[in-house]
Amino acid sequence: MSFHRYPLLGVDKPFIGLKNYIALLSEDPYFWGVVKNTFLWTFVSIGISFIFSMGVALLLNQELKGRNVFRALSILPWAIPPVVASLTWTMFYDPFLGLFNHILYKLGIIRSYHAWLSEEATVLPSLVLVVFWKYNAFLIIGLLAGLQGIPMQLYESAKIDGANTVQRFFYITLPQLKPIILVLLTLQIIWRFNHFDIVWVMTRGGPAHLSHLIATYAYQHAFISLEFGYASAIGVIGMVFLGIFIVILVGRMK
Amino acid sequence: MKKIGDTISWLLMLTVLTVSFAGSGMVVAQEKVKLSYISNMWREVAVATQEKQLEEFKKTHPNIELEPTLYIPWGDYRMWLLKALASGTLPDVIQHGVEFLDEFAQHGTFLPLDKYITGDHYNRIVKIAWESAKVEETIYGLPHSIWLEPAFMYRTDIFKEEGIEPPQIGEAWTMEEALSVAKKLTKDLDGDGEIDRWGWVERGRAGWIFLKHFGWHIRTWDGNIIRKLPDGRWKSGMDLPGTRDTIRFFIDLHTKHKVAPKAAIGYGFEDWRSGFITGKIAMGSMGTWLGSILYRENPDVKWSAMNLPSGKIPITQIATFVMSISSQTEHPDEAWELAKWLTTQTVEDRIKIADIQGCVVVFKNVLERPEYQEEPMRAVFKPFFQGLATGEIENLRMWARHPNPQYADIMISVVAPTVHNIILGKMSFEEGIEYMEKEINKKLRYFG
Repeated sequence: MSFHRYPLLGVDKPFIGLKNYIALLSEDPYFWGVVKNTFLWTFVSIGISFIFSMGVALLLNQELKGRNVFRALSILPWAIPPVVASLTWTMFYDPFLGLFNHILYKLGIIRSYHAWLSEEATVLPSLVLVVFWKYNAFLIIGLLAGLQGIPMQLYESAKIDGANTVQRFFYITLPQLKPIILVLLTLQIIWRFNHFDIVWVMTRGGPAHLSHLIATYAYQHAFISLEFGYASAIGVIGMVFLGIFIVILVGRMK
Repeated sequence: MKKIGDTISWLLMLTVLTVSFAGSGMVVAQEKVKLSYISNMWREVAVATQEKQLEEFKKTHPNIELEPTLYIPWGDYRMWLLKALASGTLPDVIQHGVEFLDEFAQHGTFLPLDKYITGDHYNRIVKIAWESAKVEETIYGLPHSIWLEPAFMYRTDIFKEEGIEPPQIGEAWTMEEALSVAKKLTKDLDGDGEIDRWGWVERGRAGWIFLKHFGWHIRTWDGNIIRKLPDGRWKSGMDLPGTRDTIRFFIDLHTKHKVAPKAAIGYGFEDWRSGFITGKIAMGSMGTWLGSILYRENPDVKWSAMNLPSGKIPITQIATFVMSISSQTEHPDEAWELAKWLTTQTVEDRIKIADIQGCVVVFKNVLERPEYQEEPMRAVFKPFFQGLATGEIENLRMWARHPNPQYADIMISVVAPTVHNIILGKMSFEEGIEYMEKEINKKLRYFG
């Protein structure tokens, strides 16, 4: 399909070779911005999520009072349907009545209310915050499961040898978690790179295409502009980028 | 022996007759007609009212079985219809809006209805509504509800506070007059150096929102983003002075005159509404359907509506809902019965649904009633009732009549992000015009 001009309702769908790819890679003024958004979205959100989730998993691995309640609460955002979460956060971010503005204003963090989903500087970080809140649970559960599989004798031996907490974390915990971290990272990269629902519901990729990801950009071309050939080309290029990362990560698993 | 033979013959005949009647009964049962119907009922009350209409239809038409789908979000409606058209699964009866008529009529989606419409039927409905249901003089839908898309809404309490008199009913400000008022209304109310109230805000979010709120600007400045050449081909209208004036004026609201925040380029309906009800937005264009919502959900907010400000030519934009019949239907007569039932034969239910959805009905004898016009929930239509009933509205335009099917996509995919990028300072005005010229022509060629 990506090698054709492919309008939805047209009878003619002529073969045009690489024209869609050439137009996309060299003439589309928004595409490389979309790619940049997708990379930022994927790796910044995963990076922040990973650090946060590791911290929470380490805490939940301790013998704490009410640990089970906290474990259940950490899964709650994941259980909420993405569209419901997106609509709720949209209200939360409302430029005039939203709770987000109200809280930050009262805390003195902002001097005036912002249109978080409409301003160039804040639209993508605002969306990243939503995906961070929504999808940490999977990382927390995975890392927690990994932590619980590490034999205690390793830590005890290390303590006897004089290793402190930080050293035990870097020389025992992380190496022991490496296989599970790679699996979690691979899955997270695939899911976040292909993300669609939160962005489409909250901003439709706007304003001015500033929050488009590869998936939403392809969707816009397919289902708004009805240019299925061009949209397919976007999808193929996205798949190539993602494929490169997967190959690297899978290679590290061996 | 003969008696036994006679008895057997009678029994056989009786069996054959019984089976025949039973068989024809099955045939009658199989002749029950199935009709599918889609609509976009917004709210539970509207859904309940429509369900009541459908139940009553089933009672009076027992040979018809209905398969209704009453809630498809308006934002997804066009795509839903396109997919149904492409896959040959169009419902028999389709409620839709005037914005889809040209595009889908060109694809042969709808059945012409001229042969079904009697003189009496035609005369019951206001002329301007019929215009919204016609493509090249062929009627493709039964209009039933009408609204302004948009009207110019304003906070009456803020106007009073600032000593501003709105124009009289039937009159309109010029764009310059409206801009002058907007500048007066835009204020830093608490002296902290930040604007607390914006004088004139248009919703800018890309999509149908931009189409509505930029579209009327283009028309009043006598521009067009695409135009038809004498040889029948289409090309970009970026070379038209009216088009450039529109884009310039719209951008200047945000950048030069600063009566709207730059962030308004991303405002959706809820953003604008919350700004309006909190008094942060003093005026702007909005569909009159907001009136119904404000009436029910924000009764303390003091507001009214006026005619759109006028650029080179004054305009009033209306929109309609119409009921069409699919060209793929196998039961056109039954589909017509349903379409008629849902529009002209259950007028009180239609009035109720129109009120919930922020519209008025298209029936002359209803529109002319003083008690209909005076009802507070229809206050937003006050400047327009006389014109709607008589059809005497100057420069009346259907908000979304697009003679070229690519119009909506061009506005959404090319014009909106480019105008937004100019507002954000990422492109100069001339760069933006040049880019739009190129991209619009490319899209028009892509689709032939």
